[in-house]
Amino acid sequence: MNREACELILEEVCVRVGDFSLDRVSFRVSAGSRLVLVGPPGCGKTVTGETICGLRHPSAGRLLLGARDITHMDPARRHVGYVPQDYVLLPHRDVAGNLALGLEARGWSRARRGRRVAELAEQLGIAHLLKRRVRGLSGGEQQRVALGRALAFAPELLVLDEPLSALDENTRDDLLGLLTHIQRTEGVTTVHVCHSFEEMMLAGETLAVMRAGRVEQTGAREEVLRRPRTRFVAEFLRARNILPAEARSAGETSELRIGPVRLVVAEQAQGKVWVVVRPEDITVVPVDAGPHGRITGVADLGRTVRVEIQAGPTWQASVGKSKWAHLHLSVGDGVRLDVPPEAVHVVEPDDEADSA
Amino acid sequence: MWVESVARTLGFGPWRAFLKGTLPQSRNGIVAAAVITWARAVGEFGPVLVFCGATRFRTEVLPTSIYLEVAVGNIQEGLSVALLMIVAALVVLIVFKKVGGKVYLA
Repeated sequence: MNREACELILEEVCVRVGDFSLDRVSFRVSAGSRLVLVGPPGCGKTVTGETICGLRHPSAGRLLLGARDITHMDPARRHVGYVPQDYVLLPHRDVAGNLALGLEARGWSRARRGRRVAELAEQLGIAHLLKRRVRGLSGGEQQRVALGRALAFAPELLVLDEPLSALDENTRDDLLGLLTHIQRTEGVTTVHVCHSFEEMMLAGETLAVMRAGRVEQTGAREEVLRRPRTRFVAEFLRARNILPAEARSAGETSELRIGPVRLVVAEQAQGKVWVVVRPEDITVVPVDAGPHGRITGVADLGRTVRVEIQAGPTWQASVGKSKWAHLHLSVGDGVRLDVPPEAVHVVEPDDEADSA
Repeated sequence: MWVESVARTLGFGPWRAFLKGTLPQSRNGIVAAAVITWARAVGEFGPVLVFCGATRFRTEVLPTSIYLEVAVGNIQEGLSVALLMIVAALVVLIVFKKVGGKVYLA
Protein backbone atom coordinates (compact mmCIF):
# COMPACT_ATOMS: atom_id res chain seq x y z
CA MET A 1 0.00 0.00 0.00
CA ASN A 2 2.02 2.91 -1.29
CA ARG A 3 1.03 6.50 -0.93
CA GLU A 4 2.58 8.95 -3.35
CA ALA A 5 5.87 10.33 -2.01
CA CYS A 6 5.76 13.99 -1.03
CA GLU A 7 8.31 16.74 -0.88
CA LEU A 8 8.84 18.40 2.52
CA ILE A 9 9.73 22.08 2.70
CA LEU A 10 10.50 24.06 5.85
CA GLU A 11 10.57 27.81 5.30
CA GLU A 12 12.07 30.00 8.02
CA VAL A 13 10.40 28.01 10.81
CA CYS A 14 10.67 29.51 14.30
CA VAL A 15 9.62 27.57 17.42
CA ARG A 16 10.02 28.52 21.05
CA VAL A 17 10.38 25.83 23.74
CA GLY A 18 11.13 27.32 27.15
CA ASP A 19 14.49 29.09 26.87
CA PHE A 20 15.35 27.32 23.63
CA SER A 21 14.23 28.43 20.21
CA LEU A 22 14.48 27.26 16.63
CA ASP A 23 15.62 30.20 14.58
CA ARG A 24 14.41 30.37 10.96
CA VAL A 25 15.01 26.73 10.14
CA SER A 26 14.77 26.07 6.41
CA PHE A 27 15.44 22.96 4.35
CA ARG A 28 13.89 20.86 1.63
CA VAL A 29 13.62 17.09 1.35
CA SER A 30 12.72 15.99 -2.17
CA ALA A 31 9.98 13.39 -2.65
CA GLY A 32 11.09 9.88 -1.74
CA SER A 33 14.55 10.88 -0.53
CA ARG A 34 16.17 10.89 2.91
CA LEU A 35 17.63 13.89 4.71
CA VAL A 36 19.93 13.35 7.67
CA LEU A 37 19.42 16.11 10.22
CA VAL A 38 22.62 16.13 12.22
CA GLY A 39 24.17 18.23 14.97
CA PRO A 40 25.47 18.11 18.53
CA PRO A 41 23.06 17.30 21.38
CA GLY A 42 20.76 20.20 22.27
CA CYS A 43 20.96 21.89 18.86
CA GLY A 44 17.23 21.53 18.11
CA LYS A 45 17.08 18.41 15.91
CA THR A 46 14.40 16.72 18.00
CA VAL A 47 12.35 19.92 18.28
CA THR A 48 12.53 20.23 14.49
CA GLY A 49 11.31 16.62 14.12
CA GLU A 50 8.50 17.24 16.61
CA THR A 51 7.50 20.40 14.77
CA ILE A 52 7.27 18.49 11.48
CA CYS A 53 5.01 15.96 13.24
CA GLY A 54 2.80 18.72 14.65
CA LEU A 55 3.77 18.28 18.30
CA ARG A 56 5.30 21.78 18.48
CA HIS A 57 3.71 24.90 17.13
CA PRO A 58 5.75 27.31 15.01
CA SER A 59 5.51 30.99 15.88
CA ALA A 60 6.63 31.90 12.35
CA GLY A 61 7.46 30.24 9.05
CA ARG A 62 5.76 27.58 6.94
CA LEU A 63 5.85 23.80 6.59
CA LEU A 64 4.74 22.31 3.29
CA LEU A 65 4.20 18.61 2.66
CA GLY A 66 3.51 18.00 -1.01
CA ALA A 67 0.75 20.40 -1.96
CA ARG A 68 -0.47 20.80 1.63
CA ASP A 69 0.42 23.57 4.05
CA ILE A 70 0.79 21.66 7.32
CA THR A 71 2.12 24.53 9.45
CA HIS A 72 -0.83 24.57 11.84
CA MET A 73 -2.45 21.28 10.88
CA ASP A 74 -3.53 18.85 13.61
CA PRO A 75 -0.91 16.05 14.02
CA ALA A 76 -3.60 13.42 13.47
CA ARG A 77 -4.32 14.76 9.97
CA ARG A 78 -0.74 15.13 8.73
CA HIS A 79 -0.06 11.50 7.78
CA VAL A 80 3.46 11.75 9.16
CA GLY A 81 4.93 8.59 10.69
CA TYR A 82 6.99 9.38 13.79
CA VAL A 83 9.52 7.09 15.46
CA PRO A 84 10.54 8.80 18.72
CA GLN A 85 13.95 8.35 20.27
CA ASP A 86 12.75 6.08 23.07
CA TYR A 87 10.18 4.21 20.91
CA VAL A 88 7.24 4.97 23.30
CA LEU A 89 5.47 1.65 22.70
CA LEU A 90 2.33 0.85 24.66
CA PRO A 91 3.34 -1.69 27.34
CA HIS A 92 -0.22 -2.91 27.93
CA ARG A 93 -0.50 -4.11 24.31
CA ASP A 94 1.29 -6.88 22.46
CA VAL A 95 3.41 -6.24 19.37
CA ALA A 96 0.48 -6.74 16.98
CA GLY A 97 -1.61 -4.30 19.06
CA ASN A 98 1.13 -1.68 18.84
CA LEU A 99 1.56 -2.14 15.09
CA ALA A 100 -2.17 -1.74 14.53
CA LEU A 101 -2.60 1.55 16.44
CA GLY A 102 -2.50 3.87 13.42
CA LEU A 103 -4.92 1.59 11.57
CA GLU A 104 -7.36 1.62 14.49
CA ALA A 105 -7.28 5.40 14.42
CA ARG A 106 -8.32 5.25 10.78
CA GLY A 107 -11.21 2.90 11.50
CA TRP A 108 -9.87 -0.16 9.65
CA SER A 109 -11.77 -3.41 10.27
CA ARG A 110 -10.16 -6.08 12.46
CA ALA A 111 -9.58 -8.41 9.47
CA ARG A 112 -7.98 -5.69 7.36
CA ARG A 113 -5.77 -4.60 10.28
CA GLY A 114 -4.67 -8.20 10.80
CA ARG A 115 -3.62 -8.56 7.15
CA ARG A 116 -1.64 -5.29 7.17
CA VAL A 117 0.04 -6.11 10.49
CA ALA A 118 1.06 -9.57 9.24
CA GLU A 119 2.46 -8.06 6.05
CA LEU A 120 4.44 -5.44 7.98
CA ALA A 121 5.72 -7.92 10.55
CA GLU A 122 7.01 -10.13 7.72
CA GLN A 123 8.74 -7.17 6.10
CA LEU A 124 10.37 -6.12 9.39
CA GLY A 125 11.34 -9.63 10.47
CA ILE A 126 9.18 -9.60 13.62
CA ALA A 127 6.43 -12.02 12.57
CA HIS A 128 7.41 -14.40 15.39
CA LEU A 129 6.95 -11.63 17.99
CA LEU A 130 3.39 -10.56 17.19
CA LYS A 131 1.86 -12.06 20.35
CA ARG A 132 4.67 -10.91 22.65
CA ARG A 133 4.35 -8.03 25.10
CA VAL A 134 6.71 -5.19 24.26
CA ARG A 135 8.33 -5.12 27.72
CA GLY A 136 10.50 -8.20 27.12
CA LEU A 137 11.74 -7.17 23.68
CA SER A 138 15.34 -6.17 22.94
CA GLY A 139 16.17 -2.62 21.84
CA GLY A 140 16.44 -3.66 18.19
CA GLU A 141 13.11 -5.49 18.30
CA GLN A 142 11.39 -2.52 19.96
CA GLN A 143 12.84 -0.25 17.32
CA ARG A 144 11.40 -2.47 14.57
CA VAL A 145 7.98 -2.38 16.23
CA ALA A 146 8.12 1.42 16.52
CA LEU A 147 9.14 1.64 12.86
CA GLY A 148 6.35 -0.73 11.83
CA ARG A 149 3.81 1.27 13.84
CA ALA A 150 4.84 4.43 11.99
CA LEU A 151 4.82 2.74 8.56
CA ALA A 152 1.54 0.84 8.99
CA PHE A 153 -0.71 3.60 7.66
CA ALA A 154 1.62 4.36 4.69
CA PRO A 155 2.65 7.84 5.81
CA GLU A 156 3.60 10.54 3.34
CA LEU A 157 6.65 11.34 5.45
CA LEU A 158 8.66 9.45 8.04
CA VAL A 159 10.46 11.22 10.90
CA LEU A 160 13.04 9.07 12.69
CA ASP A 161 14.50 10.56 15.86
CA GLU A 162 17.88 8.99 16.63
CA PRO A 163 16.61 5.57 15.55
CA LEU A 164 19.93 3.79 15.92
CA SER A 165 21.73 5.58 18.74
CA ALA A 166 20.78 3.16 21.54
CA LEU A 167 21.64 0.00 19.62
CA ASP A 168 24.78 -2.11 19.44
CA GLU A 169 26.84 -2.02 16.25
CA ASN A 170 25.53 -5.21 14.60
CA THR A 171 21.88 -4.40 15.33
CA ARG A 172 22.48 -0.87 14.09
CA ASP A 173 23.89 -2.09 10.77
CA ASP A 174 21.00 -4.56 10.33
CA LEU A 175 18.40 -1.91 11.07
CA LEU A 176 20.03 0.65 8.82
CA GLY A 177 19.96 -1.86 5.96
CA LEU A 178 16.29 -2.49 6.72
CA LEU A 179 15.53 1.24 6.85
CA THR A 180 17.19 1.82 3.49
CA HIS A 181 15.36 -1.15 1.96
CA ILE A 182 11.99 0.00 3.31
CA GLN A 183 12.56 3.55 2.24
CA ARG A 184 13.27 2.34 -1.31
CA THR A 185 10.37 -0.08 -1.52
CA GLU A 186 7.81 2.20 0.16
CA GLY A 187 9.29 5.31 -1.46
CA VAL A 188 8.60 7.35 1.65
CA THR A 189 10.26 10.73 2.17
CA THR A 190 12.33 10.50 5.35
CA VAL A 191 13.89 12.86 7.88
CA HIS A 192 16.51 10.97 9.88
CA VAL A 193 17.69 12.78 13.02
CA CYS A 194 21.05 11.74 14.48
CA HIS A 195 24.01 13.15 16.38
CA SER A 196 26.59 10.53 15.56
CA PHE A 197 29.11 11.01 12.77
CA GLU A 198 29.19 7.28 11.98
CA GLU A 199 25.40 7.06 11.74
CA MET A 200 25.33 10.15 9.57
CA MET A 201 27.88 8.65 7.17
CA LEU A 202 25.86 5.45 6.88
CA ALA A 203 22.39 6.96 6.85
CA GLY A 204 22.07 9.29 3.93
CA GLU A 205 23.31 11.23 0.97
CA THR A 206 21.84 14.60 1.95
CA LEU A 207 22.68 16.46 5.16
CA ALA A 208 21.38 19.38 7.14
CA VAL A 209 23.82 20.36 9.89
CA MET A 210 22.23 22.17 12.85
CA ARG A 211 23.71 24.26 15.59
CA ALA A 212 22.03 26.09 18.46
CA GLY A 213 18.58 26.15 16.84
CA ARG A 214 19.75 27.07 13.34
CA VAL A 215 20.58 25.16 10.20
CA GLU A 216 24.24 25.83 9.54
CA GLN A 217 24.51 24.10 6.17
CA THR A 218 22.53 21.79 3.91
CA GLY A 219 23.59 19.88 0.83
CA ALA A 220 24.83 16.60 -0.56
CA ARG A 221 26.96 14.76 1.99
CA GLU A 222 30.15 14.77 -0.10
CA GLU A 223 29.77 18.46 -0.86
CA VAL A 224 29.25 19.36 2.82
CA LEU A 225 32.20 17.20 3.84
CA ARG A 226 34.45 18.70 1.17
CA ARG A 227 33.28 22.29 1.45
CA PRO A 228 31.98 22.97 4.99
CA ARG A 229 30.58 26.48 5.15
CA THR A 230 31.74 27.32 8.67
CA ARG A 231 34.42 26.18 11.03
CA PHE A 232 31.77 24.62 13.27
CA VAL A 233 30.57 22.39 10.41
CA ALA A 234 34.17 21.46 9.57
CA GLU A 235 34.84 20.50 13.19
CA PHE A 236 31.57 18.61 13.59
CA LEU A 237 32.26 16.65 10.40
CA ARG A 238 35.71 15.80 11.72
CA ALA A 239 37.76 17.67 9.16
CA ARG A 240 41.37 16.76 10.03
CA ASN A 241 43.03 19.92 8.78
CA ILE A 242 41.32 23.12 9.93
CA LEU A 243 44.24 25.48 9.58
CA PRO A 244 44.72 29.21 10.28
CA ALA A 245 45.76 31.16 7.20
CA GLU A 246 46.53 34.71 6.05
CA ALA A 247 44.59 35.64 2.95
CA ARG A 248 45.11 38.44 0.45
CA SER A 249 42.39 38.97 -2.06
CA ALA A 250 43.40 39.59 -5.68
CA GLY A 251 40.31 39.94 -7.83
CA GLU A 252 38.67 36.56 -8.41
CA THR A 253 41.41 34.71 -6.57
CA SER A 254 43.13 34.93 -3.19
CA GLU A 255 46.64 34.22 -2.08
CA LEU A 256 46.79 32.09 1.04
CA ARG A 257 49.65 31.63 3.45
CA ILE A 258 49.28 28.61 5.67
CA GLY A 259 52.50 28.58 7.67
CA PRO A 260 55.24 28.21 5.05
CA VAL A 261 52.85 26.92 2.38
CA ARG A 262 51.63 29.46 -0.19
CA LEU A 263 48.72 28.87 -2.51
CA VAL A 264 46.49 30.78 -4.90
CA VAL A 265 42.87 29.65 -4.64
CA ALA A 266 39.82 30.58 -6.68
CA GLU A 267 37.91 31.85 -3.63
CA GLN A 268 37.71 35.35 -2.26
CA ALA A 269 39.17 35.81 1.20
CA GLN A 270 40.91 38.57 3.08
CA GLY A 271 42.77 38.75 6.41
CA LYS A 272 42.91 35.94 8.97
CA VAL A 273 40.82 33.01 7.81
CA TRP A 274 40.46 29.27 8.40
CA VAL A 275 40.96 26.76 5.63
CA VAL A 276 40.03 23.11 5.36
CA VAL A 277 42.15 20.58 3.47
CA ARG A 278 41.34 16.87 3.37
CA PRO A 279 44.31 14.68 4.39
CA GLU A 280 44.03 12.53 1.25
CA ASP A 281 44.50 15.64 -0.95
CA ILE A 282 47.94 16.43 0.52
CA THR A 283 51.01 14.89 -1.12
CA VAL A 284 54.09 14.51 1.06
CA VAL A 285 57.31 15.04 -0.90
CA PRO A 286 60.70 14.16 0.67
CA VAL A 287 63.32 16.93 0.24
CA ASP A 288 66.83 17.50 1.46
CA ALA A 289 66.74 21.31 1.38
CA GLY A 290 64.04 23.92 1.98
CA PRO A 291 61.40 21.72 3.60
CA HIS A 292 57.98 23.12 4.58
CA GLY A 293 58.22 21.22 7.85
CA ARG A 294 59.11 18.01 9.62
CA ILE A 295 57.23 14.80 10.28
CA THR A 296 56.18 14.63 13.93
CA GLY A 297 54.05 11.49 13.94
CA VAL A 298 53.15 8.45 11.86
CA ALA A 299 50.15 6.20 12.51
CA ASP A 300 49.45 2.99 10.59
CA LEU A 301 45.70 2.85 9.83
CA GLY A 302 45.73 -0.39 7.85
CA ARG A 303 45.36 0.59 4.20
CA THR A 304 46.69 4.09 4.73
CA VAL A 305 49.24 5.86 6.89
CA ARG A 306 48.36 9.06 8.73
CA VAL A 307 51.32 11.42 8.78
CA GLU A 308 51.50 14.47 11.04
CA ILE A 309 53.68 17.28 9.79
CA GLN A 310 54.65 20.40 11.71
CA ALA A 311 54.68 23.09 9.03
CA GLY A 312 53.45 26.24 10.74
CA PRO A 313 50.31 24.56 12.10
CA THR A 314 50.18 20.77 12.38
CA TRP A 315 48.97 19.14 9.15
CA GLN A 316 47.65 15.65 8.72
CA ALA A 317 48.21 13.84 5.46
CA SER A 318 46.86 10.46 4.45
CA VAL A 319 49.22 8.38 2.33
CA GLY A 320 48.56 4.99 0.75
CA LYS A 321 50.48 2.16 2.43
CA SER A 322 52.49 1.12 -0.66
CA LYS A 323 53.29 4.71 -1.59
CA TRP A 324 54.48 5.37 1.97
CA ALA A 325 56.80 2.37 1.78
CA HIS A 326 58.48 3.90 -1.32
CA LEU A 327 58.97 7.30 0.32
CA HIS A 328 61.33 5.93 3.03
CA LEU A 329 60.30 8.63 5.48
CA SER A 330 60.18 8.59 9.26
CA VAL A 331 59.61 10.95 12.20
CA GLY A 332 61.94 13.96 12.09
CA ASP A 333 62.46 13.95 8.31
CA GLY A 334 61.95 17.21 6.39
CA VAL A 335 59.20 17.24 3.74
CA ARG A 336 57.42 19.60 1.37
CA LEU A 337 53.65 19.59 1.17
CA ASP A 338 52.09 19.54 -2.27
CA VAL A 339 48.54 20.86 -1.95
CA PRO A 340 46.42 21.36 -5.08
CA PRO A 341 44.64 24.76 -4.80
CA GLU A 342 41.25 23.22 -5.63
CA ALA A 343 41.57 21.00 -2.52
CA VAL A 344 41.74 24.06 -0.23
CA HIS A 345 38.46 25.48 1.02
CA VAL A 346 38.11 28.71 3.00
CA VAL A 347 35.51 28.49 5.78
CA GLU A 348 33.63 31.29 7.50
CA PRO A 349 34.99 32.03 10.97
CA ASP A 350 33.13 30.69 13.94
CA ASP A 351 32.41 33.47 16.44
CA GLU A 352 32.47 31.39 19.64
CA ALA A 353 35.42 29.20 18.73
CA ASP A 354 37.45 32.11 17.37
CA SER A 355 36.93 34.38 20.34
CA ALA A 356 37.86 31.56 22.73
CA MET B 1 2.44 13.34 27.72
CA TRP B 2 4.58 11.39 25.30
CA VAL B 3 2.35 8.39 24.78
CA GLU B 4 -0.45 10.78 23.94
CA SER B 5 1.75 12.76 21.58
CA VAL B 6 2.75 9.65 19.66
CA ALA B 7 -0.89 8.52 19.58
CA ARG B 8 -1.77 11.92 18.10
CA THR B 9 0.76 11.43 15.26
CA LEU B 10 -0.79 8.01 14.60
CA GLY B 11 -4.12 9.65 13.85
CA PHE B 12 -6.04 9.73 17.15
CA GLY B 13 -7.85 12.85 18.34
CA PRO B 14 -6.93 14.23 21.81
CA TRP B 15 -9.65 12.30 23.68
CA ARG B 16 -9.01 8.96 21.96
CA ALA B 17 -5.25 9.45 22.41
CA PHE B 18 -5.91 9.75 26.15
CA LEU B 19 -8.18 6.68 26.17
CA LYS B 20 -5.79 4.51 24.11
CA GLY B 21 -2.52 5.66 25.63
CA THR B 22 -2.58 7.39 28.99
CA LEU B 23 -5.61 5.81 30.65
CA PRO B 24 -4.55 2.13 30.26
CA GLN B 25 -1.07 3.01 31.52
CA SER B 26 -2.54 4.79 34.52
CA ARG B 27 -4.64 1.77 35.52
CA ASN B 28 -2.44 0.70 38.42
CA GLY B 29 -2.29 4.24 39.79
CA ILE B 30 -6.06 4.67 39.57
CA VAL B 31 -6.72 1.35 41.35
CA ALA B 32 -4.18 2.20 44.06
CA ALA B 33 -5.71 5.64 44.56
CA ALA B 34 -9.22 4.12 44.89
CA VAL B 35 -8.05 1.57 47.48
CA ILE B 36 -6.19 4.15 49.54
CA THR B 37 -9.11 6.59 49.41
CA TRP B 38 -11.56 3.88 50.56
CA ALA B 39 -9.29 2.77 53.42
CA ARG B 40 -8.81 6.38 54.52
CA ALA B 41 -12.54 7.07 54.44
CA VAL B 42 -13.40 3.94 56.45
CA GLY B 43 -10.54 4.70 58.88
CA GLU B 44 -12.04 8.11 59.51
CA PHE B 45 -15.35 6.61 60.62
CA GLY B 46 -14.95 3.10 62.11
CA PRO B 47 -12.34 3.73 64.87
CA VAL B 48 -14.11 6.90 66.05
CA LEU B 49 -17.39 4.97 66.34
CA VAL B 50 -15.74 2.05 68.20
CA PHE B 51 -13.61 4.01 70.64
CA CYS B 52 -15.61 7.20 71.19
CA GLY B 53 -19.13 6.30 70.15
CA ALA B 54 -21.42 8.71 68.28
CA THR B 55 -23.03 10.97 70.84
CA ARG B 56 -24.58 14.24 69.65
CA PHE B 57 -22.54 17.35 70.54
CA ARG B 58 -20.04 15.24 72.55
CA THR B 59 -18.15 12.76 70.38
CA GLU B 60 -19.66 13.81 67.09
CA VAL B 61 -17.31 14.43 64.13
CA LEU B 62 -18.41 15.07 60.54
CA PRO B 63 -18.38 11.38 59.41
CA THR B 64 -20.27 10.21 62.53
CA SER B 65 -22.64 13.13 62.06
CA ILE B 66 -23.54 11.79 58.59
CA TYR B 67 -24.09 8.39 60.24
CA LEU B 68 -26.37 9.86 62.90
CA GLU B 69 -28.44 11.87 60.40
CA VAL B 70 -28.84 8.93 57.98
CA ALA B 71 -29.67 6.55 60.90
CA VAL B 72 -32.78 8.62 61.75
CA GLY B 73 -33.77 9.13 58.12
CA ASN B 74 -32.52 12.72 57.65
CA ILE B 75 -31.03 12.06 54.22
CA GLN B 76 -30.90 15.74 53.25
CA GLU B 77 -28.96 16.76 56.37
CA GLY B 78 -26.63 13.80 55.86
CA LEU B 79 -25.96 14.88 52.27
CA SER B 80 -25.33 18.47 53.38
CA VAL B 81 -22.65 17.35 55.82
CA ALA B 82 -21.12 15.09 53.11
CA LEU B 83 -21.03 18.07 50.75
CA LEU B 84 -19.30 20.12 53.44
CA MET B 85 -16.61 17.45 53.70
CA ILE B 86 -16.14 17.33 49.91
CA VAL B 87 -15.70 21.12 49.82
CA ALA B 88 -13.15 20.98 52.66
CA ALA B 89 -11.24 18.20 50.87
CA LEU B 90 -11.28 20.15 47.58
CA VAL B 91 -9.94 23.30 49.27
CA VAL B 92 -7.12 21.31 50.86
CA LEU B 93 -6.26 19.65 47.52
CA ILE B 94 -6.25 22.97 45.66
CA VAL B 95 -4.00 24.57 48.28
CA PHE B 96 -1.59 21.62 48.11
CA LYS B 97 -1.58 21.73 44.33
CA LYS B 98 -0.81 25.48 44.35
CA VAL B 99 1.87 25.29 47.03
CA GLY B 100 3.52 21.98 46.27
CA GLY B 101 2.41 21.19 42.72
CA LYS B 102 5.55 22.45 41.04
CA VAL B 103 7.68 20.00 42.98
CA TYR B 104 5.70 17.05 41.68
CA LEU B 105 5.32 18.28 38.14
CA ALA B 106 8.96 19.31 37.60
